[in-house]
Amino acid sequence: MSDLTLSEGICQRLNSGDSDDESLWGSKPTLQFLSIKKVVPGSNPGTANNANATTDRYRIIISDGLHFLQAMLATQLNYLVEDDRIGKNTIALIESMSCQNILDKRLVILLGLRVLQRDAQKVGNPAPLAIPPPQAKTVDASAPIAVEPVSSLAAPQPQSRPTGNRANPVYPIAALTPYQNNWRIKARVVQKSDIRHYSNQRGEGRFFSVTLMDDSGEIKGTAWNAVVDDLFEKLQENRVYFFSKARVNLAKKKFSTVSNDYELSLDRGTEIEECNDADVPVIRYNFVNLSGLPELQKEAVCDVIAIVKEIGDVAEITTRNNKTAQKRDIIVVDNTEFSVRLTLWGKQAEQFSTPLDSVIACKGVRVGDFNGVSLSLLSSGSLVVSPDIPEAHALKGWYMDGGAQTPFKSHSQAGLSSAPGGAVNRNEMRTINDVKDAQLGMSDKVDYFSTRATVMHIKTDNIVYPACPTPQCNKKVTETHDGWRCEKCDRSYEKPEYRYIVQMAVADSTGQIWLSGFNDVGLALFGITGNELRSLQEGDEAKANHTIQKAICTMYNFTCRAAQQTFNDQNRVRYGIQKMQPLDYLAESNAVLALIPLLRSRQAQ
Amino acid sequence: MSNEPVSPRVNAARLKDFIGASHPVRFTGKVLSFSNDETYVLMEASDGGKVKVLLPPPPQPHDVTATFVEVVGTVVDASTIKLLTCIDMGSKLDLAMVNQVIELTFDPEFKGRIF
Repeated sequence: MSDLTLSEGICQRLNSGDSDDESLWGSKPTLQFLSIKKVVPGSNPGTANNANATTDRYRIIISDGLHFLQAMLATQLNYLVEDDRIGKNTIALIESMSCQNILDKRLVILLGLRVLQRDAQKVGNPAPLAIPPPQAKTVDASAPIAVEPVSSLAAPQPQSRPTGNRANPVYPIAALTPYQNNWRIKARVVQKSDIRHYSNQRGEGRFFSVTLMDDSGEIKGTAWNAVVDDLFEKLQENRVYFFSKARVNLAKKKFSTVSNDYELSLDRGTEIEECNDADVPVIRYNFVNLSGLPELQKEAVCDVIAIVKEIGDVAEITTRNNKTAQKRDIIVVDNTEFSVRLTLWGKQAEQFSTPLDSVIACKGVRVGDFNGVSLSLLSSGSLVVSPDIPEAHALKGWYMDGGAQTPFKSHSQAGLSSAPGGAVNRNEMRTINDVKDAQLGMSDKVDYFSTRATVMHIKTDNIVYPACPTPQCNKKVTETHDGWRCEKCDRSYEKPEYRYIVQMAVADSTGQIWLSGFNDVGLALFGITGNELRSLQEGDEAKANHTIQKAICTMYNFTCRAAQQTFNDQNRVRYGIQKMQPLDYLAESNAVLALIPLLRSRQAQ
Repeated sequence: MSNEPVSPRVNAARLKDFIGASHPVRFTGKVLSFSNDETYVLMEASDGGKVKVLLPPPPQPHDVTATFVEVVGTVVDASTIKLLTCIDMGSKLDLAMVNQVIELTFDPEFKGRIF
């Protein structure tokens, strides 16, 4: 039974007391939760601009036995409701709370609590409180407000607080929400973007953004137009500032990779003070080893720490929108003995002057599948040279100790790009008949599917083509009077590299289709390079044919891509191979065995 | 063809159904040990049972060289087979899976369709 007594009278005080009253808001009352309701985001002020809200909020009616009051649960405590740790009639000690005044209602925000008793009887018969007007004492409807300058210091307006009263506690970034305005954060500017220009239907403007980080998390802040001029010089990368009175909005995830549901708009009213405390937040990283990169999904964002092994030159390339961009490729390695290509863009590419063999820590790196696995430093990411963190020292130590000599494995071998849906997805396996029936690829959309089939026939003419030897280029080269010319690289070569272009018919028990594949498919089928096969074809034709024949009747798991292609007014579906894997017979058998009970149960119906 | 399959795959438990049958059975299993005089091989069946496989008397070579083999032979009694020929199945074979397949072939639902 309830040995716990609620803090009677606290609700009244919370409702009508000063927002500023430290003794009130710093107290730790015991309260009962009469009800907890999930609030659908989008129906609250502050979320008007973005209907794409993701976090649930919980509204709790708190009672002290005498009265009850509305409160909101801070999102970081949502798990308490979801794990059923708190519920109807739970009694809890409130360890941290704050208040917010919306319109003329007061809302208590529960930031931290300790559950005393999960299930209890409802204590007392709490009554609702009257909504107190913001200025409890001085509002007099008849008298014009201008006349009476009488003490309106009793309850100051929520928004325009006297600046002297800056005793606001420092909030963790993770606790920021649009429902709270009186917060202050102490954060480090870990990244500052360039000033960017934009133009849309409403006009044009400019903006820049910063990534702020403290011990609890990170958040993005953006400043627009006029504010840009003030703040761009003021905010320096790697310095720590106090921020308050910025607007908290829902994050536009499309434009940012910072992991926070909210982001800040830094505007005229935002106050930023430099902080020179010794106790400053350090950049927090969540490093992934280079060997672990293939496990990440394409487009995933992560952090890496590695040693610079090779530095490419800055190249200027034209993007799809005909804008030029600077890019620089560097190769980095780490102590999992893998190497990977990391692409830098814009200013980071131009100004890259880190010497070889130094450690770099990168935050905000996107995983791509260019030729296997590749990394790209996002504009919102950061690159720190030789950071003073344990992982950097460990890496440097390993490298100096002989790590530099290890032969590094690269992820970009026979690197077939992984199609969306990843590797062979057993649940999405289709029979060939199914593929044809479902007319995959016949609409304008590209379809992906997996199938297990046997190679029946391989077209032997045009199985290789002369390609540009520059790695990654692979464009077909034409023979001219002085060698083989590549249009893309704009140069000629003495000898081309012959790469496979395979057309083969595969079949399973339901039907047969033609698939096409490129160099990696050929390598998997024949085990020799395109150059080698071509020399066989020219020299020992019998052996060449024998090699090709050996590939017939082999069974593989294929991941394919079906798309429409137009050939002179004729629309045809073509099936391309993304990935081709030899069978692990045990795994396949087990998969089929697992299907049989399904078959039985369906037959039983 | 009659309902009886030609050389069905069996495990130890099913041997007794084929004692004295004129057609052989296939017995897939793991080689455990040879007898001293190489007259028989002790093998473990896919369902775990132990079976003796009688080998042709020397100097006739037997082909039981790998760890996992499939013995085609006639059933002498519930735990003995006489080897006619044998197939090398390599050094890695998941007997549990083999057993599932064997049981499936005898399942009344599939029996008629598979053979």
